[in-house]
Amino acid sequence: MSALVRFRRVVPVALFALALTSAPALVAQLVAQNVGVRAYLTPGTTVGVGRQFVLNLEVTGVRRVDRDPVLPDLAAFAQYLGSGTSTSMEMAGGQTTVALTVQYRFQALVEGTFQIEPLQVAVGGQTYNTEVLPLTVASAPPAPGAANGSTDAGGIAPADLFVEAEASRTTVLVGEPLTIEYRIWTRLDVTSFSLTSEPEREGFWVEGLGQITQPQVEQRLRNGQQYTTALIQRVALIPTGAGQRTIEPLGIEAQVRVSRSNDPLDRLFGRSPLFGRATVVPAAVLSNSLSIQVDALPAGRPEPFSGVVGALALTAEVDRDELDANDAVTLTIRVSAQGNVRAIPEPVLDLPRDFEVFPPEIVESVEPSGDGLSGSKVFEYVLIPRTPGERMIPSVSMGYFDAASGSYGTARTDEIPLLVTGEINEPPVSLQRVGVAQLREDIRFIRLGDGALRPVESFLFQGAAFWTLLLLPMPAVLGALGLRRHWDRLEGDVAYARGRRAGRVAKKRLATAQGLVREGDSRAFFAEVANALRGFVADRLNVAEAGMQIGELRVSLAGRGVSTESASDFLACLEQCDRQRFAPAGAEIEERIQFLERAGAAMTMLDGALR
Amino acid sequence: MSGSSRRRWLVAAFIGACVVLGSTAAPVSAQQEIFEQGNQFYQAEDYAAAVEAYEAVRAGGFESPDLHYNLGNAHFKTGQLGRSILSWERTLRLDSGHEDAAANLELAVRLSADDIEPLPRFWLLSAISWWVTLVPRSALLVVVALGWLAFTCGAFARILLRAERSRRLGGWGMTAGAVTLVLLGSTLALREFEVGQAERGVILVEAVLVRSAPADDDGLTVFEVHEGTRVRIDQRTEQWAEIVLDDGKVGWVPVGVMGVI
Repeated sequence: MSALVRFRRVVPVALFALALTSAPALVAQLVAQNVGVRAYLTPGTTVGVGRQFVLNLEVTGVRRVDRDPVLPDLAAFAQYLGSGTSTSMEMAGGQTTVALTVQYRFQALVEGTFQIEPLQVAVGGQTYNTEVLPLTVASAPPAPGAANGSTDAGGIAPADLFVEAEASRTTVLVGEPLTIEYRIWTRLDVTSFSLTSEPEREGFWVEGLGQITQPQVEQRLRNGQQYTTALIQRVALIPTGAGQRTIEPLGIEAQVRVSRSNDPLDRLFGRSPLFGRATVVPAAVLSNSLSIQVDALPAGRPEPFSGVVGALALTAEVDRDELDANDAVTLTIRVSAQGNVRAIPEPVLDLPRDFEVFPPEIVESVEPSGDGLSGSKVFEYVLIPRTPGERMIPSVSMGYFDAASGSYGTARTDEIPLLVTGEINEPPVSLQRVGVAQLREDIRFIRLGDGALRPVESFLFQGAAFWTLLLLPMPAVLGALGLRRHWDRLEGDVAYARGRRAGRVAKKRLATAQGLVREGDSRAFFAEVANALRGFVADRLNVAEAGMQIGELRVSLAGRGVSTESASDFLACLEQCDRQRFAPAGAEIEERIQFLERAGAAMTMLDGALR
Repeated sequence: MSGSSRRRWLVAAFIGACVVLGSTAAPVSAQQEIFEQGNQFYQAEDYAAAVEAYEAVRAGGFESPDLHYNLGNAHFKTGQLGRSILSWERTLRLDSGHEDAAANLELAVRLSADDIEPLPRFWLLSAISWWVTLVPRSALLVVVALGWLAFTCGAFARILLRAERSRRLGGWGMTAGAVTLVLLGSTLALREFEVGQAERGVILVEAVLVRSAPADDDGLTVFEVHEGTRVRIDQRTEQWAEIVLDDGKVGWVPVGVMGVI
């Protein structure tokens, strides 16, 4: 948290008892007082690196300011620790003077001479600026073991309270863990402490080794002095690149119970709560910084490389060695290492193509070991073989740098046979399927081919084809209805059927007669013509053909409204046939032909008359 | 009358119907050649020449969904967004199931400047519109003709045939034909008379000011539309058309700035 943000926290205001009990009558007097603003540093304008200094802002004439004063930015050389406020009231010569003091505590971080820019404070609607203050941060680190040193803000000598950072080793290889311990040493009564600045450990991977909540306090002798000491932080660092690295100091603020007076007696009794003469003061302390030399690993590292500098062992096992295709088997690969366990990558599996493999479940455990780290990382894979057969899970290997021998080594697992039973029922699926990514958008390609072109559509109901198609079936259906009626009459009405048939049958007989024209036998000819004539008229009149007399015929024809002329001609033909059939002399061929034509004409005429 | 004689009648009727149907096809080989030339130009990336070839086919009085589709592609490649949208809309008017045209149209519309939120439409109208444009016109025509044929053949069968089985078949044919005729015939009629289908157009110029009245007066400007925007044409004069946007905005534009789908 930045200094500014911390500053904006609500700070409890401690009021003097006198101020609390002041009579309201004083208020008018107070308002009239002149306002004075000044800033000053305690314990002085020179402070040792890592030590605490206080920037005081004193406002006289008021007991409160309009809003929080504006602090200059000291982040370049100091760490903000906290603040407190107090008010005071003095009475002298009938005059009462009130003052408000805000104390900002800082820890000096960087050596040098700096200027503290003016503070800005608003009182009674007016803004006041303090003066610029010089500050010198001297190179006076709390030399561990130094018997005496300059006193701090709280009157504490550096040798009485300091923090020591100690690295397990100062020369390491890239990837080789080292541990750093921070230990507090004190000859004072430290009631509590808190970390104020955690160093940036650039170039290192930091592995916290658990928070120390209850520091183990010990008594130790150091440079002939009795110290109370406790381990306050322990971290493992894994260098990520080669080079000279500096680990910045760790800052703490300790609450120290000190005697309020310099009286040796007070000091003697001050520690006793019975006497109540002691007070608790904050003291800021920085640890020493550390320099670590990180060397690069030699060339020729084996691939795949685990990144472990130390020792490494690999084992692999399956939870069963026989299974059905499409069943799951768990492959467990355990990597045990001394070194940076967390950096160990997933092993490279070269499984048969038909094995479906799911992302592994990874369990890792890390613990400090000696001056480094050790632990294990377990990869649990679920594998599903898709096709049966005797399969082999190949060996998995991983390279590391053996710190003991100073050379590279490779750990590998054994091959694991796996019997997959069952039937081949589906083709091997491809591994790790992913969706097809659209690389760019474009329109689709044109349609090739002939284009299936048609004349531009005209209005359908104006097209001749449409109306033809629509209307053509109508007369056809009417025709079909007529045809149906005709067929029905032919089947049900004998007279109609005979009448429709008469002409056809007669024509047939006349054709037979025509064949007989050139035959010698004229009787046969005339008999056939007579048959045609009789058959025709019998069919048309729907009477029996046998026994048909000419006289009866004449009457019947007259009854059907046939004109005498038509009937006479027909009957004359019939009479002639009868005569010729029984006459001995044969007619000439020419005569037969003429008769045939006459009979045909007579039939046609009668047919017309009978309709 | 014998059975064979009756069958002869029926066969003759069927052939007659086929001849009538077949006579509507016309020779198109010359236009096909130009179309294929256009395709070759397109494949050789000479898109302007492809546009010319496809337009020549249209000028020759022929068209097809694919012709409009390819023309739209060629327009798109020459940077004519509005004309490409117009052509793909025409493709979909002839064949609402043309997937390629629908995909290209979707892409082109995303490239056009105006993002218009369409007003919700009464579901029944949407359903009717969907139904009417579901089947391409040519397919609809064939189905309706077949329905008519089934109806008349069924009628012939019922009138002329004696066997109970044949008469029943004829009855089914008549029923199926009648249902097809009523359902799809009415669809065809709706389509032909463009019932409920407003005239639509596509803006072809980069931007055009839309006026509140058919007059060239900047004071009447109510909004602006850009190339590729599809509009409904409500009414028109010789030089001006009143357009309605899908979000309900109404105004007048010069007729020349748009193409009618």
